[in-house]
Amino acid sequence: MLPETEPTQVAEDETFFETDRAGASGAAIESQLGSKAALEAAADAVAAAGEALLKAGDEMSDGEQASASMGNGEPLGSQSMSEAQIALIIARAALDDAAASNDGDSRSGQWIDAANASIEIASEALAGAVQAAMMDGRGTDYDASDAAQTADVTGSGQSGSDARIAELDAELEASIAVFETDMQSARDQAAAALTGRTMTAVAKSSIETGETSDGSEVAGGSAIEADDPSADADEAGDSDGDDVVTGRTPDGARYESPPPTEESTIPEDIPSPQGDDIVAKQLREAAMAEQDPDLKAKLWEEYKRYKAGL
Amino acid sequence: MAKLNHTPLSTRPGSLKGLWFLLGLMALLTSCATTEIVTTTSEPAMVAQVPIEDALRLDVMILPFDPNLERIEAVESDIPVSAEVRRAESRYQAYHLKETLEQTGNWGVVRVIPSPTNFQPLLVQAKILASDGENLRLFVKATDAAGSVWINKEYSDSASKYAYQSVREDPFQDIYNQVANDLLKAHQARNASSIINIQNVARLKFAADLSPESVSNYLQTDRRGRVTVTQLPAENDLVMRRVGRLREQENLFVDTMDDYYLNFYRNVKPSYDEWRYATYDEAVRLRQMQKQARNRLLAGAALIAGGVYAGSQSETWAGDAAAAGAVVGGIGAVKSGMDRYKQAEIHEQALAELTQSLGMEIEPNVLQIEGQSIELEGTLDAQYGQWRRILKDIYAADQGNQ
Repeated sequence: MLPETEPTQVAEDETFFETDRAGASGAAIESQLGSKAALEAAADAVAAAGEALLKAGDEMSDGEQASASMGNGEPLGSQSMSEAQIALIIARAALDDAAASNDGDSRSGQWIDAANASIEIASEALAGAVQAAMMDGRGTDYDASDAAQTADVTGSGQSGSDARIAELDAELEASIAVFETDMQSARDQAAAALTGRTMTAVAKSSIETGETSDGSEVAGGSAIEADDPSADADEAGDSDGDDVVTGRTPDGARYESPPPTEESTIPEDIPSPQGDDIVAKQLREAAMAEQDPDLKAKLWEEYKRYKAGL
Repeated sequence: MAKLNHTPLSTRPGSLKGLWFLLGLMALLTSCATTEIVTTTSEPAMVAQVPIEDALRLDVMILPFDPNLERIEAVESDIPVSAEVRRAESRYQAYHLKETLEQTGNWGVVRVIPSPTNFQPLLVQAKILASDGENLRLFVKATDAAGSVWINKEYSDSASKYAYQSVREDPFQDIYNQVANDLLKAHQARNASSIINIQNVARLKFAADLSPESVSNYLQTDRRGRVTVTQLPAENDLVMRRVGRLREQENLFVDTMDDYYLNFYRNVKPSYDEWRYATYDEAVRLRQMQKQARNRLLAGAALIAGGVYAGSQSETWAGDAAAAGAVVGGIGAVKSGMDRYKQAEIHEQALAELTQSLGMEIEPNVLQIEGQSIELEGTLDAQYGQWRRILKDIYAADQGNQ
């Protein structure tokens, strides 16, 4: 719970945002107000995510009891799960903003940490629920075939061990989803740092050489330049840096440059919407409608990751 | 009054002969000390003439080079070395080797990883023996997952002034090219089945790290530590498919670290290049001063010793005069040598200041990459612990089924 604030009260009583009006400069006050606004926005986002999770949980419980499905054949609760997924992403982004603008207030920091931990637990649980729903109805490539090797996937004939294995597989997938999120967050940070340097380097490079680089050529020269005399021209073939092999991130693309903040609605690397289920549709629509470029990028990433799992 | 002795050289007393011998020895030593063997190579990084098939391209993991900090005070040259600079170089040079290998196109995925593992197809490690604007010496070792050593030797290179005037490539690019070429030769010396065996061993070792109980029968290690595959798991083996998913996460971690190392490399490069360029001249002059100082001190000491001895043995005025001249000359040489040392100290001080300045400038980057490595590795380790536990439980449940 976010502690209540009394911004109009002089700091004789302990308030969430302690201010020393006598000593605070205008800039400090502005910073505190900005921090407070970010914190409140984060609190609202977390509350909204909580409500979405509750709704998804209720619908899934109803779905389990009644084996109900929506008119399009999707299990009941799919839409609410996707809404919860989106709400968690938004909450995580809002908490990141609050943490960034926190001006050292320890109580705020503690609340943010606690909220982040709760979001992580909720993400993990939701990922497990999504996986379980998928296995129940459709199954992933390896889940469906693997479950068929060991048990009756209709559920009625599964032994205790098979059910346990299925449960552990779901836990494994959920854990992988959490790890991927952590790594993606780390890569986003690295990309953000790289963007600042890349834009400067590209500007300098294009002025000096007239070439557009892929971000790997820095003024001052290095062995990675295209016409590097250290490469044997007779044998090199294409030695202009295109031989850099792609990485093996789950979506198959090496992260060579950060996602551009552009006004066009759909980035080029987004797969076709054909075959989208209700969850994928919700993610896609949310990403297209989102105005905040960072959040938009995260939603597109989530969409791509979800599509890769279908 | 002593009689002047005008005897020929060949019949002069042994004391004077000894003096000439000492002079000759001094000249010989001096000439030896001033002989400089300059080894320069301009060997380019080779690309395999017959392109290597995708299936036979090995992934290469490179560790940050050992900064050799425990010997930082005892390096052969007197070029001052800073621990901060050396720690930065350990990552910078590793990443530069990675870039060089990638450009050849002979390998699969090439990355710098923070810690060693035993399940990488090819792991490259190196130790920095000496590194300044003029010289770079590395000891490089490359080992594959099956335990076979591909290279295990020292590399050295000296930069030329031209290398700093033309900034198109690293001044020590030759070393990186030599390492790349030696790795290629080692690859070409192995047949396809060896390479495939290495890849299988790497895959199974990774599986064994996560789920040893499931993979225990697939690998065998001989007395020399060489690992071979005794049998391959089935294509649709469930354990291997789960492990395959986790291998993707390991790859994701490695790719993430690669992004951080790239940032580090680019952040440090401008200052590091400038430092190498600035210290090149100082390093050359310092070494020259030190050499001249040593030579002159050596020569001076020899002259003095010879002159004193000759004087003690001389029976003629000429002999006495020669001996005295030798002593005076020797004293002059020693004094000159001491002056050279003082000049060398000035260059050494300039180098120390430049190095200290660079160290302070790049230390935040070093701390940042170290912190990022620890944090991400901690995340991965925690995750591995969880995955090992889950796989173990799956194995137990599967055994219960059987």
